[in-house]
Amino acid sequence: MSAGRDVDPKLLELLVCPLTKTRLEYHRERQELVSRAARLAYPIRDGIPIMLSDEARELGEDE
Amino acid sequence: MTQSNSVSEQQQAIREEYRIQAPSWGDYDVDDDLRWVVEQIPLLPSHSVLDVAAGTGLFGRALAHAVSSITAVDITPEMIEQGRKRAAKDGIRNMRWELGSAEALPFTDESFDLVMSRYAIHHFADPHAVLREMCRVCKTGGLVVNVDMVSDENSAVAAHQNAVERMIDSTHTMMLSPSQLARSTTQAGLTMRSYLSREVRVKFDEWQPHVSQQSEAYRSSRRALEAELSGGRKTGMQPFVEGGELYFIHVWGVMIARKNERESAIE
Repeated sequence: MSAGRDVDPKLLELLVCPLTKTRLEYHRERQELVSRAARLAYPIRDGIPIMLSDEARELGEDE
Repeated sequence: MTQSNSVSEQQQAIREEYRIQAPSWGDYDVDDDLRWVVEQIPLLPSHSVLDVAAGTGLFGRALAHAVSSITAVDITPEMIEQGRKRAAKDGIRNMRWELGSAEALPFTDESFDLVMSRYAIHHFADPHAVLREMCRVCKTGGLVVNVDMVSDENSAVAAHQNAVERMIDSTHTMMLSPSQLARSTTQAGLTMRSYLSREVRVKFDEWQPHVSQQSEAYRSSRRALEAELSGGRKTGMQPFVEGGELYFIHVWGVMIARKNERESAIE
């Protein structure tokens, strides 16, 4: 599946993890926003960040 | 403070209902009532705006021409999709979209000049938590605007009014009365700037067009209004008949508040 539209860079500046309110890392290739504090990766689908822990991927041990 | 960000039962219900309703919401145009609301807000071209529980972003789209940028956040993907399409069709280029919960907004503190919400409070499980979140992400000196249907001030009437709303809309939790809205706004750490209200006439049969007239939801809510017309229990909805059609009044409250320095933040 293609990554679709890129996420708005200004939105990335404002976004934090909804659980921990800490900064997120943008992983462009995977289209994910990673919260180190919550150990979660929030997906970006078609340019829209999905900021819900239910839909986030748990980070693996080595990530 | 621990904060849950999982999708609650109420949010699941909202998502299911609005997944179905989404296509019709994308067709809604900005009407006179919404234009009137927008006129009450002191907007600046430099404003960055957050539209909370935005649905298809109708509120944001109504004032996009007057501000710098709008971020629309909602819990239902289908509503966002409809809104994004409609904004593109209308040539609106300063809106961004994301999926998230109003109870746990994924933004850093002091992010926006104006944080607003319309037609949403009556869907929240905890409206006070949402107001606190709206206050948190608003810049000091910025505005928080809430627009929603409000209930009667009499708590017994308000209880029945909310019950009638729930009969036809299972995702309705509770409308606040104007004084409850004011109290909650102050408790969230905001200073009231103005409160305005507007009575909107609703034709009963156009209220929830997707609800079948054969359904119990339609019939029971209609019965409640007709009972009041026959001298029965007050619904707070001021029902009346005109030209053989049943109407009632939704009172819209527009609460405009400012986020001040910290001294007023804690109750």
